[in-house]
Amino acid sequence: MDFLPDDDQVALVRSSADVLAKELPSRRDMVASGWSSRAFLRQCAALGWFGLGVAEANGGVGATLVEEALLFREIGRAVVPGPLLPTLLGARVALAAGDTTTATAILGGDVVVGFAERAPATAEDAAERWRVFDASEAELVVVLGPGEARLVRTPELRPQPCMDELTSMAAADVAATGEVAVAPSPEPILHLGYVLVAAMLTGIAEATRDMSVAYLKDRQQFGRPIGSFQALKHQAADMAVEAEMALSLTTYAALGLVEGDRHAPLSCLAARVLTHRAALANARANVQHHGAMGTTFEHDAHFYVKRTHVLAHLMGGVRAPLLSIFEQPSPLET
Amino acid sequence: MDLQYSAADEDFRDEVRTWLTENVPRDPRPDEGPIMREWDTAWQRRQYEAGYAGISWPTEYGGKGLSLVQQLIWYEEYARAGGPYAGCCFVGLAHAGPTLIARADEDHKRFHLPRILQGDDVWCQGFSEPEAGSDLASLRTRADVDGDELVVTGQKIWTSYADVARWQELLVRTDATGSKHSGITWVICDMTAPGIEVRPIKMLTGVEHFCEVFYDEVRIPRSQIVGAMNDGWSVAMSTLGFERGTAFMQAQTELSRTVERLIELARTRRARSGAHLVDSDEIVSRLATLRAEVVAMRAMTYAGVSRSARVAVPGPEGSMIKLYFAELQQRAYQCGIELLGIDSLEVDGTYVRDSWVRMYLYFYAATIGAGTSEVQRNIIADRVLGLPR
Repeated sequence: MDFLPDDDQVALVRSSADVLAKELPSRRDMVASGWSSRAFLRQCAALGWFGLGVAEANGGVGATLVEEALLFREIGRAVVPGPLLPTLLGARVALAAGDTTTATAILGGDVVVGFAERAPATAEDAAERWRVFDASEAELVVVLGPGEARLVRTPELRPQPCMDELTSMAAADVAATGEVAVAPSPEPILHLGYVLVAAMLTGIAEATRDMSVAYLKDRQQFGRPIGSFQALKHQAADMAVEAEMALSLTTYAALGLVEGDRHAPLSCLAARVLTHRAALANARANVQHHGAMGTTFEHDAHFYVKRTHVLAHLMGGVRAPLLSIFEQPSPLET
Repeated sequence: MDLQYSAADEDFRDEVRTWLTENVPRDPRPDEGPIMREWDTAWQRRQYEAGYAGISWPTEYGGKGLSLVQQLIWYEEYARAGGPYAGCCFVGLAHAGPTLIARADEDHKRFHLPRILQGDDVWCQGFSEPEAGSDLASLRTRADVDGDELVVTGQKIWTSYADVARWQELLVRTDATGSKHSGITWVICDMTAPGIEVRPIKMLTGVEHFCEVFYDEVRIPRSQIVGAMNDGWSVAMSTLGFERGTAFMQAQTELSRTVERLIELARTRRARSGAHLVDSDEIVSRLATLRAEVVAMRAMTYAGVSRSARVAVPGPEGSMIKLYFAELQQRAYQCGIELLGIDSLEVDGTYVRDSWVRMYLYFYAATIGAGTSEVQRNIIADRVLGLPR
C-alpha cells in the first residue's frame, strides 16, 4: 500500500508538464488571437493522451486511471483550454457502446468531442435548454451525467459569451441532433469523469496555492515580505491543506476504481465535490493575495477562478453527486 | 502506487479483527479517577498478554514491531471493533515510552518499558505551564542542582492523568542564562516523591481530566535525567521521529463511525415543525459533506503514512493532517448538536463517550491540544510552504 507515484509516473508528469509549457501560448495571447485548440488536440492524440487508460487491444496505451489522473492534474494546473476531457470521455463512451470506428477516430485525433450539459427550464420557456462547451471545432458532443452516457453529433451552435474567455460556450438544441453511440452502463464512465475533473481541480488548487506562496514571498510592503504577516500565512496554510486534501482524495478515488474497491463510487463522488471546493477556495484566495493586481485581466489569477466555475457544471454538476453521497452504503461496510 | 494489501496483511487483518471483536471491553469506560485507571490498565494488560501491546515499538523493547501497513490495519480494526480511546496508558505508550527508547540509558529502558507495555505503570506529561503553552520553550519550572539531585520548584498545568500516574516525563529549566531552548532538561519524575501536589481541573464536559501539578522543592536523582543536562528540548522532540501517522487510522475510523451514527440519527429524527430532517436538502448536504470529508481524511492518512515511510523523521506535513482532522471532528459534533435541536440541551448518557452533548463539548479541545490550530497553520506556512518568518 503506497500512495506516492513511482518513477515512471513521475516521468509521465514531468513530460506532460513540459509539453504543456512548450506547446501552449500564454493565456492572454490565446484570448487575443482566438487560439484554436484543434492542432494541439491532434498533438495530444499523437501522445496517446486520449487513450492513456484504454487497453492496447482497443487502441490505447494500456496504462491506468492513475496515470490519466496524473496527466489531467497537469492539464488542470496549466488551465489548458479545449475539449481534452470530453474527447477522452467520448472515446470511452464509443468503446462501451461497441462503436470501434468512432473510438479509433477519437483516439487518433481525427474526431474531437465537446460537452453538452442541460440547463434549467425558465419560467417563460419550458423547453429543454442546453449549454454546449468547447464544441466549436468538435464533430461530436458527449452527454454524461447520472444515468446517461451518450455521444451525439454536434448540433447547430448559437455561441454565447462565457465567463471563462478560454472556454467556448453555445446554446444548442441537443435533442434534435443525431445519436452516435450510447453506453449501456453510464456509471463507470461517469466515475472516471469525476476522477479526471477532480484531478484537474486539484491542479488548479495547487497552481493557485503556488502562485500565492510565490507572491507572498516576493511582495514587500511595510518594509517586509507580506508573507511574514500571520493573517496571510494562515490563509496560505489553508490553501496548502485544501490542495493536499484534493490530491490525496483524487489519488484515493483513482486507486479505488482501478482496484475495484467496493467503496470506490463513494470516493469518486467525494472527490467530485470536495476538489471543487478546494479549487474555488484557493482560486479566490489567490486573487485576494494579489491585491488589485489579482483583479485585472492581465494577471492570470482570474483564469483559475473562471475555469473552476466551468468545471463545476460539467457532467451534471456538483449538486447531484453531493446529494447522492447520502444514499451510498456506509464506507464501514465490508 | 496502490491500495493493495498482501495476503499476509489480509491474514493479519482477519486475526486482529477476530481477537478485537472477542476482546474489546464491552462495559463502559469510567471517565475519571482510580477506577478509570484500573479499567484502562486492565485493557492494556489484556492486549499485552495476547501479544498486541506496543504495536509500533521495536521488538527488542518488547513491542510488536509491526510494519506501517500492519499498524494501519490494527488501528482501523481497533476502531471498527469499538475499541476505547487509549486512555491513561496513552502517554506511556505513545510519548514517554518512545522517548525512552530513543534517548534513555539501558537501565531506564529495562525498568520502565515493560511496565508501560504491561499496564503496570501509568505516565503523565509535565510539559505545559500557565505561562508556557504554545511557547513551551519559555517554561519556568526550575531545577537546581544539589549534589546528585535536582531540586524542582514550579508548576505544570494541563497534565492529563497526573492524579492516577506513577511517573511523569518532566521538562524543567536547569539553565536560565542562555537561550530558552538550551536550558531545558528532560527528567523522569516519580509522582510519589514528597513535595508534589496534584489538583484535578474540571473540564467543560464535567469530567476531571487534566490537572495542575505543583512542585515544592521536589528532589529527583540526576540519574533520572534522560539525555544530557540542558539537552531536554531535543529529547522532547525525539518522539517526533517515532510517530508515522498510523495512529490517525484509529481516530479517523472512529470519526467515520460517528458520521455514520449521525446519518442514522438524522434518518430517525424530525424538526420541531414535524418535518423529517432528511427531507431537508440543507441537512442532507451537510451530512453528505461530512461523509465526503471523512473519505478525504482517510486518503490524507494514507498519503501521510506513505510519505513518512520514506524518511527517518516525519516532516511538517503532519500538521496539515492534524489541522484538517481537528476541525472536521468539531464540524461533525456541531452537526450532531444541530440535528438534535432543542433535545441537545439535555445531557444524554452516563459517560462522555456515549453522549453527543458531552462529546461536542469535549472536542472544543481538539483545535487546542497537541498544538493549537493557529500553531499548526504557522508550522505549515513556515516549514511546508517556506514563507518568511
